[in-house]
Amino acid sequence: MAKKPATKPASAPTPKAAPVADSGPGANLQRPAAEVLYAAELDKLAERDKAQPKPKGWKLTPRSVLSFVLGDEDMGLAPKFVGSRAFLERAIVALATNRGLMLIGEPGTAKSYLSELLAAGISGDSTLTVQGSAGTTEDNIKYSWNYALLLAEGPSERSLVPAPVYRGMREGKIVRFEEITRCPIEIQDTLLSVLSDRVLAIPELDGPERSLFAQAGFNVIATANTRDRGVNDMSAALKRRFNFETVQPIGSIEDEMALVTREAGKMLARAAIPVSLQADVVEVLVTTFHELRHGKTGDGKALEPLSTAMSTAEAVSCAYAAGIHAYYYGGGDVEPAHLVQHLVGTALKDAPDDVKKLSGYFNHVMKGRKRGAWPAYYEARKHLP
Amino acid sequence: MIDQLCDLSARAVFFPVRHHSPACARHVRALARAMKPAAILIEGPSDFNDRVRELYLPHTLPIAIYSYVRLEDGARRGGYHPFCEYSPEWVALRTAKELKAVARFIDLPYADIANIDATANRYADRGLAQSKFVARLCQRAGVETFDELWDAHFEADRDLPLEEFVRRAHQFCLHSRLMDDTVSESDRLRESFMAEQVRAALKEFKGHVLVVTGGYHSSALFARLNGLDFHGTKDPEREQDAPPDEGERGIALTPYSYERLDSLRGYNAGMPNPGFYHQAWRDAEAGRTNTHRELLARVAKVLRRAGQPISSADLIAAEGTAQGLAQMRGRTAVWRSDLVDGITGALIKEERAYNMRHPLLDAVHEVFRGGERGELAKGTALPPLVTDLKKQLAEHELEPRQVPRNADLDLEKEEDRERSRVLHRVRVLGIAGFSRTEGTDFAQRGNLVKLWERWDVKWSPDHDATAVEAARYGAALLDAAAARLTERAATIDRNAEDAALLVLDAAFAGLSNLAGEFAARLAAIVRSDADFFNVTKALGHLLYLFVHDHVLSTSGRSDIGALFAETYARGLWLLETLGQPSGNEREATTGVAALLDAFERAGEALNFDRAELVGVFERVSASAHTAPILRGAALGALWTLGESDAHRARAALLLFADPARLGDFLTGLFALAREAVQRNPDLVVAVDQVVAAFGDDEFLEALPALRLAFTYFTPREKHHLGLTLLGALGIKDAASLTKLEVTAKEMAEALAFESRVWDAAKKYGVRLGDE
Ligand SMILES: Nc1ncnc2c1ncn2[C@@H]1O[C@H](COP(=O)(O)OP(=O)(O)OP(=O)(O)O)[C@@H](O)[C@H]1O
Ligand SMILES: [Mg+2]
Repeated sequence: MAKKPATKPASAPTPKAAPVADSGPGANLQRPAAEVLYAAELDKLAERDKAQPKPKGWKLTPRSVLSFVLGDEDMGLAPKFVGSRAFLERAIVALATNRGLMLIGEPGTAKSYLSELLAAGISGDSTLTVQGSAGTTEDNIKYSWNYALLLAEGPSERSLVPAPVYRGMREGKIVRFEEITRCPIEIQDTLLSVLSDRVLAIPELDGPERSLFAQAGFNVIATANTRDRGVNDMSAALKRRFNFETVQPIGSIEDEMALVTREAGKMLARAAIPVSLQADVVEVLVTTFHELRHGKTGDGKALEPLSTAMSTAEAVSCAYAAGIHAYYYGGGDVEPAHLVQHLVGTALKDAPDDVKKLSGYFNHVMKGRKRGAWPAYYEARKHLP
Repeated sequence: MIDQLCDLSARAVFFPVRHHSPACARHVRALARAMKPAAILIEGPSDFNDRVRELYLPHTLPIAIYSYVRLEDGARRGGYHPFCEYSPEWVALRTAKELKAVARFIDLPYADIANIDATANRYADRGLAQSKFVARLCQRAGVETFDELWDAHFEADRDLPLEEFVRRAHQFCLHSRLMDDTVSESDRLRESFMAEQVRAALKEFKGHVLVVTGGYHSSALFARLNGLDFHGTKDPEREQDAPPDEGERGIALTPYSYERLDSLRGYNAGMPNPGFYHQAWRDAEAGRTNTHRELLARVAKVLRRAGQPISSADLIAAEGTAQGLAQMRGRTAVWRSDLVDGITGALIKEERAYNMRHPLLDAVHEVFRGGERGELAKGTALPPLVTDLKKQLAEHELEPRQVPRNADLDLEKEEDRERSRVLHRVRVLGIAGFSRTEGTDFAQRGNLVKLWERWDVKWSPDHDATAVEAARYGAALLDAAAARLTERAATIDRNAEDAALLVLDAAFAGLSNLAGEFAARLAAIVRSDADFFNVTKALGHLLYLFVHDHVLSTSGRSDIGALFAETYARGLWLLETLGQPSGNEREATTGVAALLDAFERAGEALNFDRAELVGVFERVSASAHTAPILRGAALGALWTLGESDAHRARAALLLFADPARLGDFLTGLFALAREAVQRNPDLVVAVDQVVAAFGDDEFLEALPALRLAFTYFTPREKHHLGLTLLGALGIKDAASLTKLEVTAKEMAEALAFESRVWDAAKKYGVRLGDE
């Protein structure tokens, strides 16, 4: 076992009672939607925006959406997504100027989370979601039929079962299309006319009901993961209808430390595990993820990137797993050795080249670090395969 | 204090500028016109005051006042005060002329503080940009850089009234000053001097005096003049060095370029994107709006030229997004970052890697950088570099003449070495008329018996133009060459070998040390290179310079040693992660050999850690995922270091007793442990045993690599190994072996044929020989 490192209290905010405690909105849900969880914040912002001009169909002004997503200390808005303001401004303006928004990036960069927050901020509803997969059909996207009613009454609004796009157009809301590039191209392309003409044809119905015109406020946020299937598998015509934004991994180690402490803390609290993550332990974990992800150490040494993405989401689960480990098998403090063991599990899976790169990182980078938990972490390299 | 600072009717009015800010330029002019001062005092080199006239000649901007000095320890320093047409200092000079007011520079001569202040760009914004106040404001405003913050508060709104602008600027600069932890010694000395100049001017002139300095200094100057206690106004105690001799310092105008202005980083950084502000200034002067549209059109042009046309639909989308952003950011007009973000958002349709370049953004940056290059008006004194160049060429009898001639240099002779250095400096600066046509190849180092060079020297019509052009790098030939090399270092992207070759160039040019920024950049390149082969090649060049050289005066130099150590450490690390070097296995052994060589020849001088090296070789030799050739090489290196022995080598052989791996393993082993193997010829017997166990097909498969492995030995050594082997096998008459005169290919063919015969024989049940 590694020697127990000198621990100092976390400087990053220690996980206070997370919003999902035993009371408050959505208390009994496993994972309440953002608009439920943050209902109070959204109300406050809507109040502030009452007299402000807003894009048609929006619940908030673009600026308030920005404050909601990034958080605002002065207004008492919780920090949520961590990212560059210019990036978010671009994303919001794309939606405000009626272009679709395509969020792309490595796995675990919070694309889905961000699209949820945006939908909650703009439409007050993040639930109109299409989950893309190889099996996604037009029915899942636009609408389908209740066959019993269809047979009994023929096609009518009553027998039509709306899918997210239909509802988004009718109600003037943001529709989220997750993992769009996993769908076959023909299926993706059903969005073409919806996005350019803002009208959905329903050939089965007669009269004015044959065309559903989108209410102001309707728009689409799609997400795509660049690791499993890039945006190359997307028609040029559809690409043209979206503004693309790459969601970058968190740029600053301090921000990422705060986020990992906060999120892993929430998860541990939810699992009723009274372990706290010390700042120096979080520091070595986040620094490792950060440096390996960017292929560069703090002092500019290039690293061979690993084949896994080393995402923030993985850092959070690594910290969480180490916490559980420490609680059940250790003395209750998360130690560097716990991290190393879970690093292998979460991050490396089974790529032998990655193992070599990781041990190169331990041997040539960490060796020189003498502060905080680094020496113990370096010692713990014996847990690497 | 703010109210007093903002009193525009005071006798001395302090106008705070950010250097190269068009908004400041516009407002300083408006203020001067309104207050009609008797004198305008400007932050700028006071040792140029007697030549201010030269600035009013019809130059093409940008130009710079260049100050240079040779310090007591022999180091040379140069500092620039660059001027663009939208520089507040430049506009203040022109306005003084217009108002018939006296214009005067009030800063300390650069030469007087160069020993404590190495910042070459004298109009950098270090004080403001580094302040904690600015960092905090950025955070609050949610912008990433000081430049964006400045844009938002000062540049983007053209209609800001003068008083409001001055108040805002004072407030901003005052707080930056107050929240700056330490006011540098150089700043305090300069402020003390500037305050003195202002005081003197107030005595000398009856009317008002307008003081135009960096905003960081304005409040301090005001405090000094009014006897107020203020942050960072304590005069440093300083024993005055004897001022450098005349001739060791100088000051002159020199052409400059937007490219150079834009490339300044770190301490030297000023306002970026001169092309953008140039256009913004011109549009404001002409009362035009829509700067962004003109720039967008230029971006489209650049892209078209690069063969990447963008459609008008794209342009409309980009403009729409930019306008949306400007609106959201509360601006009346599209500004710098809105345009970049608009283009990024609307036109880039693929993933953007972190901090990576993108052709579209490259085009934007090209337009934002601008292409202006300065030219000095006729009648300006020639830039100092041109004078120095003439002098040096004459001194060494190297003047270019109409009739071409050769200069043959024997580098073993000091006088020829000095001529060679001059020629290399000229070459580095790209001055026309000189080329090295032949001579020792120091990069290949094939033949180092005779160290010499041949140069072609002839007059070329471009000689003068290229010399003036090079003047922007410095006043003296040596400094200019050093500056040029530093600039070149900035363009190398992760290639350690290129960096090492640059060091070689620096050595040719006789740079006696790799000064700060240059050395830092070279080290950064080495650190960022992830290619084992590049890094170990670089190591070879540096080893030559650090250990073997005797004509370039580089051996044992600590700056070279430091870079060498960096390269060595990098090489070790990369070796460990190398794994399977597909295609260039052979070179990989060369790389391992370079590391071993580096350790053996320079390890002691540079305190290399033996345990670290051994650790790496141990891990590589034991790693199952590493190519056999590397494992062999690592084991060989250990053996040579005395950390392994014949016993272990024999044991390892068994691990590689596989026809696809044996030859590679031995190649690596022999390459790194040639001598050790010869001392232990019975290893060959063990190899023989392994090979003897192969079937024919296996043997054929193993043969080419085995043959390669043995090429590491000289014919004599092979003969010796052969005798040992035969001895061990009990074969006495070895003579017949040496008579075999067939090529390996023929041999292989014969063996293959024989093997087919055996197979055929077996198939038909024929027994041959003693099978
Ligand atoms: N920049 C960030 N800001 C806030 N949370 C983040 C950030 N990056 C990662 N996270 C954490 O990662 C979690 C996972 O994010 P999410 O599932 O949205 O990622 P994703 O990009 O959609 O991944 P995938 O491509 O695998 O679908 C978030 O819930 C959050 O805890
Ligand atoms: Mg997702």
